[in-house]
Amino acid sequence: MADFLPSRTAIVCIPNCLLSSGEIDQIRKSKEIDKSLSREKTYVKKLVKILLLGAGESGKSTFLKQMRIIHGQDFDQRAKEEFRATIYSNVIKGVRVLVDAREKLHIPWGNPENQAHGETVMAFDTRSSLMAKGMMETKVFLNFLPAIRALWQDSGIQNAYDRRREFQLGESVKYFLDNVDKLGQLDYLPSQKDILLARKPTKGIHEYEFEIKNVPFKMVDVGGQRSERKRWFECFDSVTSILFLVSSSEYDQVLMEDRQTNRLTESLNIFETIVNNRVFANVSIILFLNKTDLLEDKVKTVNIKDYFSEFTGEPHNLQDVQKFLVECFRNKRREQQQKPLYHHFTTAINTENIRLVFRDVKDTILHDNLKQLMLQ
Amino acid sequence: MCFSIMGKAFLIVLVTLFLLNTTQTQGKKSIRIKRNSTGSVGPRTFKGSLINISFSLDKIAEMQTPPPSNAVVLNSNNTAVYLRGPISIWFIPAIYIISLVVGIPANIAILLTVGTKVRVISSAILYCSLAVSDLLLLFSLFLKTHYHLNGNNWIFGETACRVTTAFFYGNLYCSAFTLACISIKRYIAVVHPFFYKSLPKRSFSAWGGLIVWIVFIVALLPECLVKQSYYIMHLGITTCHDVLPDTIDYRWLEYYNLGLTCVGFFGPLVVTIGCYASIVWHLNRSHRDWALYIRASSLNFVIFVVCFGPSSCFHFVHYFLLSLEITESFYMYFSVAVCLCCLHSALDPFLFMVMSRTVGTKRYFLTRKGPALSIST
Repeated sequence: MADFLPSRTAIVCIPNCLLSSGEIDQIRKSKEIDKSLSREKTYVKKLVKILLLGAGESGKSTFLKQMRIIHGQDFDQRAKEEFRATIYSNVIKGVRVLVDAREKLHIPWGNPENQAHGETVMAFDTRSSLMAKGMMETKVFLNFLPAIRALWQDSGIQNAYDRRREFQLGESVKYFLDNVDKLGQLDYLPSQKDILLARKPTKGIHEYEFEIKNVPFKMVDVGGQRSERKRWFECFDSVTSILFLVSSSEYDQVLMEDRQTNRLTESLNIFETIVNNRVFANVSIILFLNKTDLLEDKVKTVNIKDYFSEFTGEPHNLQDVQKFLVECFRNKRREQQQKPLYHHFTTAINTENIRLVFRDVKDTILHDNLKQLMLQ
Repeated sequence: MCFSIMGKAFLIVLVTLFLLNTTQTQGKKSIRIKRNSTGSVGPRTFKGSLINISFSLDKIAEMQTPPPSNAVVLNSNNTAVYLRGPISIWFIPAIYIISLVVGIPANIAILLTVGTKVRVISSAILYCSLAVSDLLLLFSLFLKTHYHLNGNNWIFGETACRVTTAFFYGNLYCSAFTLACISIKRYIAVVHPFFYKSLPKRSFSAWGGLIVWIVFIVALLPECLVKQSYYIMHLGITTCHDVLPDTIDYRWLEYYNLGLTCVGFFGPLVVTIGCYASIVWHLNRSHRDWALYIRASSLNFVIFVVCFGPSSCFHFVHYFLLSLEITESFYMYFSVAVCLCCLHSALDPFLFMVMSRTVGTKRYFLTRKGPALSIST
């Protein structure tokens, strides 16, 4: 027996001796890579990809910021400082637009002494490197703060604001001007609402990922201006749904780009291009008729018939106008479309938005699942 | 719609037949032979007493060493009535023939059209499995049809009897299980769409198919292990599976089959009912109009319940009463009800097509116009 023990021991050692420590490491790494690939594959199968489309200023990025605030990471200090600079830029540009409009619309100054303030803000150089990025330094803004405050209180400027549909003015400018004293505080950092209302035209393609009820979502945000639309087609890969945003209240406004085309007409034309595209034949469309609060105010004073003569119904009745808007978009779809069209009247900052999207996307995937089951 | 009518028509026929035979049974109650005094528990079907074929004058020798043989004496006249009656000689084989003529071409067509898609569509695995199962069951009907038409006289030998019976019962359970797997898959797809999206569908279907065929093996084992064919002395026929001796050797089979009925019939039935209810409830809450799909789904579900429900119940009641030595007349009812399961095997391909078309899969069928047309015809 004594003779056998050493041999067995040697045999037991052989398997380990055959593998060098380097090879063992390689095997371990290889297994880890395989696990990682497997997890990635599962994640990709789970991932719901939503494309955010719509004309410029339809609220796409605002919607996305709201999603990020509710379901993703909050904005950090650095991001807030960047938004502050964006807000300052929004304000100075807004005031300049109002001063310019007052002059062109021949509205007299409420207080003639504000002429000097107007000249001050118009003299501001908007071609500086920072302003080109849509941002303004704090100390520069503070220099203009007294002039801005005085101008916003002038009745002439207020009259120009009331006629804002005749020119291009960002919707959030009023909010910031009403709170200009808060903006002027030395320790000011934007609140969540401020961030939501900050306006910065989207350039390029932005992707954000977050989870809702254990389902990974990826929202792809692309610019809505005409110059940015050529990039839309880069994002089409494996899209589950398209979230198409429309400013429902802008049926009486024209485009920033050419100042001639009706904004709603532009949205309809874009929608028609998207919805009848062969690439999107298997993608469901979720139509968000955005800024419904503004629409509610507008129908009381502006007759939609003046801009869309085919409208039949009571022009000051909200339901009639809403129904007409939905029909306009539905009629852009050709009949052989198989995928459903969901629509909702909402605002970009509504916290219920993601629930609507989640429900519609779930419905879309349910439909896909059944088709697959039945050998589609 | 015609399928639904067909199902109901058969149900009406069944009820009529039950009433008729109950009357016959009651009318001849006084003629019934008393049960064998041995009191042994019989495992299945009709019972018979095992005796020696050769009539020996020496009773002592016979009592001491009764040698095993393939002859039995019927315990009740009810059995003889069934074996010589029109139900088993004409009605049952008629149903079998209809199932064969309709079902074999249809299931082969499904195999040809869906089989080529297995790699592309994961559900195809389950549908192919179902078609194979249906075909095996239908093939087992060839010999059974001859058996019944021949006055319940089996002429093909013990081996063929075992194989036929095994395939018949094995595939009944197999079909029910496959349909339950398909229901589960639909349930996940509708009620948990995001989870279904990330599910490894081909593996899921493959495992489902594997489980189904394990059930098949478990179900056919007892039929292969015990002797199935016995000569009925005073009728002059050899039955296959319809009459088994009342001996200790068959007692375990009784409990085995009670369990099988619960797992193989009631299990799938309960699962299918649960899945169906859940699916319809969720589809009704969906944005989209699923009325067409729900209607087709309901048709599918009703036909499944009508075809498998009665035979499950009669099968269970029969073995339960058999174990209590109360009556063995439920085997006749089961034999008739089980014909509906055969019809379901023939109907599966058409139900499949109905379901497919409700989800807008015209493109798929249009690409294989020939087989689709032949199926429709």
